[in-house]
Amino acid sequence: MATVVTKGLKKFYGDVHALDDVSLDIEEGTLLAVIGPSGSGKTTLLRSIAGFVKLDAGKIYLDGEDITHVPPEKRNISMFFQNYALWPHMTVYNNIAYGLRLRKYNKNEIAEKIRWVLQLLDIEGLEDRKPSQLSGGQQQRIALARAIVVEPKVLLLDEPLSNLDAKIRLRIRFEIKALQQKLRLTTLYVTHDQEEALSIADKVAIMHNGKILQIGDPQEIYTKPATLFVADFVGTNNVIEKKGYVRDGVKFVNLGKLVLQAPPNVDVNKVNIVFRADEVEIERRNEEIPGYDYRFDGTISGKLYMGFKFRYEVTVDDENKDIKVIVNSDKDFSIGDKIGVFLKKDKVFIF
Amino acid sequence: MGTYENKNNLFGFLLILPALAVLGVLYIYPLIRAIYISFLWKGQLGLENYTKAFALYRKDIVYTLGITAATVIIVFAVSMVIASYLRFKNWKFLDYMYRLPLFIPFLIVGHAMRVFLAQHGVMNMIISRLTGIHRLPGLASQWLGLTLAFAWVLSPFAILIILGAFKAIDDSYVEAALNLGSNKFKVIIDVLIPLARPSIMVALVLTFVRTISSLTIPLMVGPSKPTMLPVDMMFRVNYYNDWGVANALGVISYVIVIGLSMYYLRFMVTERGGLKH
Repeated sequence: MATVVTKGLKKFYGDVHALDDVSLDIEEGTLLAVIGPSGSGKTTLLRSIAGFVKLDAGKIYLDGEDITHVPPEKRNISMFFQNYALWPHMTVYNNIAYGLRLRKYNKNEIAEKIRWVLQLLDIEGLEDRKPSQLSGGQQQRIALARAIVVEPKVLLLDEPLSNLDAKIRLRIRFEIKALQQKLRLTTLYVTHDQEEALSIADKVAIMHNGKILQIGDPQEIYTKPATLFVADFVGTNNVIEKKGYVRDGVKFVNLGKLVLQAPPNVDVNKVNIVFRADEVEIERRNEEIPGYDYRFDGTISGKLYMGFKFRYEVTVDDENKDIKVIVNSDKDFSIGDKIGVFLKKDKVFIF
Repeated sequence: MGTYENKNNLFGFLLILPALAVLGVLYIYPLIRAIYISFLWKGQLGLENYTKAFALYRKDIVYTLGITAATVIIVFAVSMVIASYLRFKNWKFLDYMYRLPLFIPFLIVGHAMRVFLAQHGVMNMIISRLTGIHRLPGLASQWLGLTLAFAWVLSPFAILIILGAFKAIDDSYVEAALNLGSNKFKVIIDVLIPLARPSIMVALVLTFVRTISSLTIPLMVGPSKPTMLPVDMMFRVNYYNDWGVANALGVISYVIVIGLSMYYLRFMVTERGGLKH
């Protein structure tokens, strides 16, 4: 296993900055998840490390060796493709054996390694089938088997779960994590699903417009978002943009009757208050909930039953009548009910 | 319900009727008539035309098959190299140049190749300048010249089909092979050719059929004896008014093409049965 370091990667497609000064480290044996919306540059980053993108600037190091100009076939970095890319004219056995044959293993060694990987991924008995005769989940495992059987220095996973249905996705998350830890694979995992990234990664990087906005462990990313974009992207969030004000040199912003102190670096003309729908509590207007730091009032203006919780749309009692927030709660209210929304200090972010 | 289906079937039949009529008048009827005439000898049915055709043109049949096979092999090699190159590299000049012969009529190709391949033609002139060798044979009246003329004019069709098939193959299949350590040559052999096999077969069958049925080019390029079957057929009709032997030669060509078509159809059935996308 190896360490990957990228320094100042740049890739432009005309005016679009697919990668804009991207620097990161993936430590040996760890899983770094890169998340971001479509077009943020995460797949370009992954393809650059694989060697499929000709960079405009920057360097990529593998175990200290500069591999920026090394062709993909000589990097020993395995990539898992989003569409699996299993060759339809080959059997499962030949798909998996392909990389091993190129590495000049003899027949017995190939058979042995394939037996090992099929057992590891619990897909024995499929050797003679063609990819078209397999389910989506089986194809996903075969593609993973093909990628890891060659014992790559780095494993690149491009949205590995995106083609699977929700139930299988949840189960395979655990399996990928367990597999990565068992084999101590240095892994770069690209996904647009932030929950998937937070649950599986040792470290998470958030990308937007070709830039890495924040890298940290999942808890850090979740609890201490560095920018408005990160705060908004991670979790189901409410972002309320308001005009703030300065009193005695200190910046403030109001939400209804709630007065929040803003950090010194915010622009008072455009203050964003961010909090997550799951990290608030609601109660009837005349009641209080102990242990919460902030409270603002509002009226239930929409209600959805989510199965495990209710999702409410709350119109905030503010001078701006258009402010609506989303809150999740297991308490049952009706549309029109007057409520109080309770928040904890460390769960409210102001940018 | 039954009436509705019958009406639907009738409507479908009416839609394909014009195409069927054209096929019947321009293909099936002349074919049946040609087969019939090929067996007609002095008003009687018999094998005399075939006996005569084999006696007079056995060498030409072998020559035709040889030229056609050589053309198919050269076209296959050229189209593989150019299609593979253009699959990986975007070279606009080559992309335009390989299509050029598509827009040149066979008659002009024949004439151009005669000039190009003649003993004192352009090709020998260039070789002489480059190597200093002055006594070079003219290929214009040799089988090699004819094969080169066919290859030049038919390669673009094959490249167009094969390159289209190569480009339709998702990049991820190519990248997956590169990623596992394959070089581009191996990618062509292991991924592109197997996945584009049906299109490659179509290109080669078309090349075979167009070569074996070509009249203009063998009339202008290549030796006068032996020559290709369509030229023999033309001479049999124009000089001897011998429709019987001409049709017998036509049926022999047709049987060769049918044999190839059967092989192609069997290949396609196996391919479709084995590969379900």
